[in-house]
Amino acid sequence: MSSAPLLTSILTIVAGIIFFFLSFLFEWVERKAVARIQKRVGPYFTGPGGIFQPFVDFLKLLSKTEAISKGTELLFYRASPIIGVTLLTYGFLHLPFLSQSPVLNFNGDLLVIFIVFAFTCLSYLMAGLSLRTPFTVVGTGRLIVQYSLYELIFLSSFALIFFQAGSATISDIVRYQMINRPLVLYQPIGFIVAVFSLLAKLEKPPFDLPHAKQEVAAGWMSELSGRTLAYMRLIGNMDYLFSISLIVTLFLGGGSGPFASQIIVLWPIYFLIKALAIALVLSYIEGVAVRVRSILLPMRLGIPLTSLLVVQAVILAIWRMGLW
Amino acid sequence: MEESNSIKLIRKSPWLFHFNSGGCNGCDIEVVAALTPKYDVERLGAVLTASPKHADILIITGPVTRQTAGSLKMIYEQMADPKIAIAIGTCACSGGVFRGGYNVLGGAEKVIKNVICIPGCPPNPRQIFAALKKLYENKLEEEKNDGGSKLTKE
Amino acid sequence: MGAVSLPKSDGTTVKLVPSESIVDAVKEIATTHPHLVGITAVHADSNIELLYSFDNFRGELRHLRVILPDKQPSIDSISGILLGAYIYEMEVRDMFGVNFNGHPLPNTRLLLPDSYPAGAPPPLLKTVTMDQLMKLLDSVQELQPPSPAIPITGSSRYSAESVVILPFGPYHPALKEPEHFALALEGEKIVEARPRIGYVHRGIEKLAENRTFLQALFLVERVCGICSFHHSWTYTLAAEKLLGITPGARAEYLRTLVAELERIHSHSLWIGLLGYWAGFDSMFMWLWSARERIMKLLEMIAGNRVNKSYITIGGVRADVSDEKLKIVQREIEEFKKEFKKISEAVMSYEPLWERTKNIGSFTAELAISAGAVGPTLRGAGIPYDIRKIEPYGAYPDLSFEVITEKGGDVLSISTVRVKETFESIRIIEQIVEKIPSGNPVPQTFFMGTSKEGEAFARTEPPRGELYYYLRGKVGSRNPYRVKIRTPTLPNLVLAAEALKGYTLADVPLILTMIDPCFSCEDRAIVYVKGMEPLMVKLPRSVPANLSLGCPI
Repeated sequence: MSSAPLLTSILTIVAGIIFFFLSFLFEWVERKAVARIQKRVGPYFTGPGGIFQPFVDFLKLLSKTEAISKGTELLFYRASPIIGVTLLTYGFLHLPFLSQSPVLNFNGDLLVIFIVFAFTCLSYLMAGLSLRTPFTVVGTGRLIVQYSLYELIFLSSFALIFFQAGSATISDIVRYQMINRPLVLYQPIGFIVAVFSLLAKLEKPPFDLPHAKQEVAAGWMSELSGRTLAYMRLIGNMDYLFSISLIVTLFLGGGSGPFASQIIVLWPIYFLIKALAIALVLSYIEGVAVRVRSILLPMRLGIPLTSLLVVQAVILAIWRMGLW
Repeated sequence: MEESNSIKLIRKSPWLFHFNSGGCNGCDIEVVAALTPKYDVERLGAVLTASPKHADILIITGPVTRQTAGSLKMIYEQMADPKIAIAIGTCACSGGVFRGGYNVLGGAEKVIKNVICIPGCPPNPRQIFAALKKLYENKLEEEKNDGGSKLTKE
Repeated sequence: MGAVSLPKSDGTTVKLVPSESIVDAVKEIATTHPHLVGITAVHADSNIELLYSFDNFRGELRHLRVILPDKQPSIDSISGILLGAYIYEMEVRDMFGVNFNGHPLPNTRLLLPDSYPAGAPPPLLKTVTMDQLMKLLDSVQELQPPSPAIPITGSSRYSAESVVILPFGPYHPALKEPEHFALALEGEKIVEARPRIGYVHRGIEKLAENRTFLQALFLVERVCGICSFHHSWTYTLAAEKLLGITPGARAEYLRTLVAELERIHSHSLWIGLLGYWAGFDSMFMWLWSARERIMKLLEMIAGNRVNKSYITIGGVRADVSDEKLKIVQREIEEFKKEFKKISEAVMSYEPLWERTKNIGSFTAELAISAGAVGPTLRGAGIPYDIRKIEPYGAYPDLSFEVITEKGGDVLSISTVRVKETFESIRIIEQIVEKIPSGNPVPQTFFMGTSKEGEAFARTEPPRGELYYYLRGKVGSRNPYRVKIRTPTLPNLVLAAEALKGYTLADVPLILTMIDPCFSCEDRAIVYVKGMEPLMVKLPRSVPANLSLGCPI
């Protein structure tokens, strides 16, 4: 922490606000891209190209009354959005979005990611289980299975990064990539594995089982309405942006690029471009994916990605030990 | 009537829940066709939701049969306020050709109040899009003042 | 006795059987004619006449007629011989109050609403008027959702902890129409599935008896919006047989043209929805966008996209000019290219195979016993297509193939539908070339009275064999009885059997592989609560209001 506390707090607020609004932009990008693949237009009338549509959706849900069914566990129901939004924003502050050094950092802050992941999932579980109806029960059940699978894979791919960069501090990993090359060039398989497990984490097709509407209606979200739904959707969007930013930071060297070290403004621009590129790749996979059968989930998600990761680890080990 | 903020926002982001109260499938496929590339109501921000609790607009197709009347009422009650009900097709508006059948109650008006009616057998997806566009621009009322029979709000 | 024999020109025979020996008679006939087309009941002269129709898959129909008194009618159930019979028997029981001894689901309604009083007279009896029924039903109508108890057969086998009972429907995103399935789940595996239908029961058969022949045509067209033309065509065929009217050759060709366009629109709709159910939304969007071309053609020919009202007794309602036929030819070529591209891409797509291959498997024997028809039966390798075995319209002049696939699962049924779409395109190309000239529009629309007699007709809609039975009374402007047997009814029996053992993720695909059209099925049927004596209440943790309807 080099800057004064005042500057840090201002930056925290700025970064928080940017995070909030950017998450809507990314939902719009996703909706537009998927619509394009499906030969449609997507949101069009609200704002230029429909860009404000996600934000209007959010405002609308906020302004609606909330129908809380009898028997809801109010503590869980109310706490879940708070946990989700706070922790994701906190996690985002640890990513070098505005400049090379993140707003918040400490030694070994890669561990923050673990906490953020666990708590995002926890907030979904709390919202899902606050009212136990058949659909929410099956939906959250699927969510837990999926979490146990992707969590391991996602974090193992980070372990490889830690292994190569020799540090568990995010700013060190970014520095390592600026000195050498972005890690995607060293660990392409690890990168692909991370992107696929990201789809599972974000509950996007082909891993959108927890709220597969043809099977379990809206899954764990079935019972939410009004404000809580608005916030849970916001958490989904923030999770999307946070995870993409994480991939950009860890594999694509953050906002580094030509002249980024001389012209400071270029850093966030490069970062955003890289994040948008990842979002488009994800949207493409979403567009052409067929949902995995629930009993085949371990076979389609767990086994192939874990074995790919092992291959990557072996290659990396051989290379690092100078045997290549 | 003073329009609340929330109604204004609903018009800009109408989330639909589709309810078949006993229709012949004709209106249903035309509602679905309105979501597909040629008509694409998502341009207006309309998406089909999986749970009535998420929806703002209840789309009713088909005459209300005795068996579905209770479910229709319950689903409408479950939707969070403010909400709008749209009856698509002549049957949902009045019972249509099935009016007078022993198992048919009549139009959606028999069960819920203030239904916007889009008659037709079935209405073309263009008509469905036009209705949502009118709602988006808040022109449904004008239509009524013109004495237009296409879209009437009761 | 009001029993009249079917027109001899059909080459069919009706055998009068005493009610005690029905089981033996069916046993005998089922060895050669295993396909039960339907059980038709007519109330006439204080009797209930039951007509059992059988086919041997070659179009040689045989009928058995049983005459029962209308006071407490009772007969033995034949569902032990042919599985699919149970659902027809339930329909007859609901609508006519006939008691079937030894029926697997006694005291269970199929079509009538919950609120229908138990002691009330069955709706299709001639002694019951519509006004009486309305008065009776209005007095008991309450705006309460149906009972939250979900009936599951033999539920005592499952302890409450290990089994979740998931209501699938009546309002569920996978079902475009309200239909209820109670699924008993062990983890994600289905151990028991029970359908309840009747949500879209509108009483069309009763309504049709109160309308003239021409008015009833518009009514039956609205039995189902997707195969609306086939419903009106089958009705017209039966009515023309009954009234002795023959349409011109050009009219036959135009009817065939619209029917085949409808088949293309229905099949591409279904293949698109296959993608939707498998969680592949893009496929759904691509196919529905291609389908719009066909909808445009239908709108051009008939003036409406879905309920076309194009056919009339004795011909069609409007001619199609040569310029329009040229447009049909051009557009169908464009559609063929587009459809070929999309279908080849999706049907060879590995992840989609995984969702459909060996899912909902059934054997040909089960399909025959359930009485399955259409692409569902052809997907199991049995070439049963009414267009071929009992040609109507312009089909005798046109060359096309009956598509069959081996396997009997979701994939084979999908393949049948894709290939049939290409066959339909071929048929349309031939129609445009061969269509004779002449005036297809009758001088006046039929407004006359009926002759004494009965007639039936069968066609092959996109979903499979459709059967209409028509009875006329001399001097009457209205049909005396209209009986509709739609393809979904027997196919549903098969789907419910095929569900067992698969997982929740497969339910949408299996239920819909038969291309269910519940509005067809429910037109005349009623549903009674309690499929089985045993009722399981949902666990206490589930609020009562959430237990019934789907996402509710």
